Amino acid sequence: MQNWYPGDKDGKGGIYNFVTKRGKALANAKVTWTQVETGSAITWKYPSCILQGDNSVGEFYSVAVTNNRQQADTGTKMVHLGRNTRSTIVSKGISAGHGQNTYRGLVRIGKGARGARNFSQCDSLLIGDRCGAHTFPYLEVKNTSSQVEHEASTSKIGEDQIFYCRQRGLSTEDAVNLIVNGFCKEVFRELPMEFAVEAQKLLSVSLEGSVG
Amino acid sequence: MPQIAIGADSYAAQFATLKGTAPAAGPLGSLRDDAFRCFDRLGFPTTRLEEWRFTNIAPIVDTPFQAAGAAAGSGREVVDALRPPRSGGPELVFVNGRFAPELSDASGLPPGVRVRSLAATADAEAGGLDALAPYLGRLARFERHAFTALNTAFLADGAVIEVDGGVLVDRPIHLLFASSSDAAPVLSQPRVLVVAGASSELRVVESHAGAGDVPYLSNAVTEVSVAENAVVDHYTVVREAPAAFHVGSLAVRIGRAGNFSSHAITAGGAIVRHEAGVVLGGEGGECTLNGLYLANGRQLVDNQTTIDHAMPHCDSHELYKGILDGRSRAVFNGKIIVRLDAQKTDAKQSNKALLLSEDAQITTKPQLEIFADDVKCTHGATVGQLDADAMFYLRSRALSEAQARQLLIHAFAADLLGHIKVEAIRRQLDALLLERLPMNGNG
Amino acid sequence: MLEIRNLQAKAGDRQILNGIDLTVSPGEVHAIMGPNGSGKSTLAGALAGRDGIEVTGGSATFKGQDLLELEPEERAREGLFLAFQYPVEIPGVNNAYLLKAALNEVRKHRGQPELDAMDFMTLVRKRMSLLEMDDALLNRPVNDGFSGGEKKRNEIFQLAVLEPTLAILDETDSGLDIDALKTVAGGVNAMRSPERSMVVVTHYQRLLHYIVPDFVHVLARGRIVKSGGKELALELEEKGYGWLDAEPARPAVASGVSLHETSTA
Repeated sequence: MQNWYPGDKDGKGGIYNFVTKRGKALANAKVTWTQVETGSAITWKYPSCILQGDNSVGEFYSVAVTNNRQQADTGTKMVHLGRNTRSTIVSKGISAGHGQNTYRGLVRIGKGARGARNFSQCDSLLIGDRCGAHTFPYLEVKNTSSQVEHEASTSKIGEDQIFYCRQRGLSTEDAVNLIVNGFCKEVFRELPMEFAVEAQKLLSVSLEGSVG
Repeated sequence: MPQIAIGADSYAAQFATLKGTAPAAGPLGSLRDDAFRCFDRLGFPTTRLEEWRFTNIAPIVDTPFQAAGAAAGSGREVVDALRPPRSGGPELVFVNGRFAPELSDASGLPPGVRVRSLAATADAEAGGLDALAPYLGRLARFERHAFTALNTAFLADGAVIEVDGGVLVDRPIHLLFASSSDAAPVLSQPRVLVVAGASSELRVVESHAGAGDVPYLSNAVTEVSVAENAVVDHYTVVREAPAAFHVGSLAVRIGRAGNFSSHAITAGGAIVRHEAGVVLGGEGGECTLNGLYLANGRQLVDNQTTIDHAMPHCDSHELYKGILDGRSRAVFNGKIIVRLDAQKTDAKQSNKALLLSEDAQITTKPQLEIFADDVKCTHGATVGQLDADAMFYLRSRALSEAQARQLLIHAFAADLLGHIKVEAIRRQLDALLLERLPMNGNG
Repeated sequence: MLEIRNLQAKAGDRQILNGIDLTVSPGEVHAIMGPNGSGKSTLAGALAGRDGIEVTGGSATFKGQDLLELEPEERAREGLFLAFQYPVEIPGVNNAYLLKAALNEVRKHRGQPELDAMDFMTLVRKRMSLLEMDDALLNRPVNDGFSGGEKKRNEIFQLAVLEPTLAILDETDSGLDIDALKTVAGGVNAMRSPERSMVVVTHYQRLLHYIVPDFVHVLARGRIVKSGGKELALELEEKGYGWLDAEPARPAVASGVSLHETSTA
C-alpha cells in the first residue's frame, strides 16, 4: 500500500515514486502482487511475474487512485515460459479531479508455454470530467494452445447514481465511497482483512471533496 | 443469375393468376401490388448481401414452389400428429397458410379480444380491414426484404389477434401453421397480425410444423403492435419437416412503457431462418429476445435480430443459445441500434453456442450502432464444446456418458427454459432436447 | 404530514409545475394521475430534491419542516421515500449493502441503534417474502442487469425495509405485467398504516384497482384540475384524458377533503 505525499491540489510538490519489482515462479509455485496506490505525485510501477516453471501461477491485483493533479502509470508483466502456466490481472483505476490513470501491461506467452492461460480485467472509474483513464494492454502470444482473455471497461459515477443513494439517506460522500468500494471489490477481497479496512479508509480520504 | 430469373418469373405468373382468380379490392389489392413490385425488383437474396452472407438459399430459389390455394391440403390426422401440446387456450389451425375452421377452436376468450382469420376479418363487415391498415404490411416493411414482399404479395389469409385496451388475456392463444406438400412443392405463407391495445396483456404461441418428404417452403410474417403499457409475450416454435425450408420474419413496434418478449425456438427444417426486428418507439419500453436453436445433420439455422432503440430509457435483453451437432451450421447476427435521442438505453446481447461435433459450425456477428452517449450496451459471444472435466466428473459419479451429455446439454439451455412461461412449451422443449440430441457420440 | 402550497417548478428551462396545492394527512393514500407530460414526475422529483428541477415558487412542508430547504438525504432520513420511475443501476455495489447503509443512516437519524448484520438479515428476509423476491437479487449489484419488473419490485422492497413515513411512488406500475403488478401492489398494501402516507403517481388506472386510494387528483398542464375519491379513477378509465384539454385549471374541490382552496389561477 503506497501513500506518499501527492503534492497540493495544484500539483505543487509531492513525491515521485518509480518502482521495479519482479517475481520468478518455478514449477507449481505462485507469485501474487496486490497493491493499493493512493499517494505520490507521479507513480510508475510494474510489479511483474516470470512464470518459468510448469504449472506456475502469477497474479496481479491493483487499485490506483489519482486525484487533483496526480498521475499513476502502473500495471504488470506476465511472462509465461512454462507449460500450463496461469496468470490473472485485475486492475482498477480511479481518476478524480485532474488525475490521470494509466494501465500499462504485458502478457507474453512464449513458444514453449503450451496450454498457458491469462485473464485480464482492466476497469476505469471516472469522477468528474477533467480526469482521464488510459489502457495499454499488450498481448504477445507465440503458440496456438494458449488462451488469453482481456476485458476492459470505463464508467463514470453519474449524478443519477449519487442522487439515488442520497434519496435512500446516504450523504454524497458516503455515496461516492459506496460506489468506489463496490468498484474495487475484486481487489480488496484479495487483501488481508485489516489491510482491506485501511485501504477503504485511505480511498475515501484520497477522494475527499472530489464530488459536489 | 439465371436461377433467380426463373424463380421470380414463376412467381410472376402465379401472381398474375392470383389477380385473375382471387382479386383483392381496395387497400389490400394495392398492398399486394406494391409488394409484388418490390419482390420483382429485389429478387431472391444472394450471399453477396451482407445479411445473407452465410446463408445460401439456392435450394429455395431452385425449387419451383406453387403458392398454396384456398383448398386446405392436409386432413385432421396430419394436423393432429403435428399439434403441439397446449394449455387449454384457444387454438387456430392453418393448413398451408389457409385457415382451417373445422380444426380450430376460438372459444373461451374474454370480451374485448378478437381472434380470427384475416379472410374472415376482411369479409366480416364493410371495411373490415380498415382498422388493421395502420399495422398490416406497415410493421413488416417489404421494400428491402424479398421474402416479406413475397408473403405480402400473396396475402390472402392469416391470423388476426386484436386485444382492446386494458384487457388481460389469461390463457395463451395458440396458432398452429401446418404445412405439407402433396405432389408438387408448396409455398405456404403464414401471416400473423397482433394488435395489443394500451395496458392489455396477452401471450401468443406460434407453432410451425410440417410433414412429408416433398419439400415445401414456409415463408412466415408476423407483425406485432404493442401499445402503451401493454405486455406481449410471444413464442415461435419452428419444427418443420426435415426436407422443408422456413423463412420467418417477426416485426414488432413497442410503445411507451410497453413490454415485449419473444422466445424463438428453431429446431426443424433443412434451412431455417428466423428474423426478429423490434423498434422501441416509446420511452420506458422493454424488450426481451430469447432464442434457442438446435441443429443436426446438414441443417442450416440462421437467426437475425435487430433491436432499434429509438427512445430514451428503454431496456433490451437478448440471449440466444444454440446446440449444434453433425455437420450442421448456424448463423447469428445481432444488430442493436441506439438512436441519438435514446439516452439511458440499456442493451444486453449474448449468443452462446455449444458444438457437439467437430464438423458443426457457427458464425456469429454482434453489430452495435450507437449514436447516443449516455447508454450502456454490452454484447458477448461464446462458442464451446462440452466441458471435458465436467463430463469426467459426472462419469466418475457413475453416470453413463449419454446421461452426462444430456445433463450438461440440458443445463446449457436451462436459463432459457426458465424464461418460458407457457408450461406446455417448456415440456415440449424438454422433450425436444432429449429427442434431438443423440445418445451416442456425434450422430 | 405533507402540505404543498402553490408549488411551481422548472425542469431545465421549461416551466412544468404551475401551482400545485396538495395536503396529505397521516395514513392517507393519494393518487396523482394525468397524461404524459402533465408534470407528475417533476412533482415527485421536486419533493425528493432532484438536481435539475428548480422550485420557482410556492412551498412544501413535511412534518412541519420546510421540505425545500433540506438536502435530498435529509429528506430521506426524515422519512420521505421516492420509488423511482427509472431505478438507477449501480454496478459493483451490492444491493443488500446499499440497503443496510441506508437503513442505518435512517435509524441513526431517528436516534435508534444501528442494526447489526444478523438483525438486518432477519428484517430483510421478512420483507423479501412480502415481495416474493428471489434471494439472489439481494446479492446482485443494485438494479444491475435486473429486468424492468425486478427493478420496480426492488424499489418497493427498499420501501418495505426503510419504513418511511411518506412514500412517493413514481409510475411504479408502468410496463409491469399483471403478476408483477399484483406483487408490487401487495407489498405496498402491506406497508399501509395509520402513520404512513403514500402518494401514488400513475398514468394508468389499473394500479388503483389494487392500491385503492383515498383521494384521486388529476394533474394537467402543471396544475391539479380535478380531485375526488377513488371513483374519479373509474371515471378517468372511461373517459380517458382527452376531455382535460377542455377543462379549465381550477382550484380543486372535493367533499370531505384534505384539499385547500387556492388563489393561484
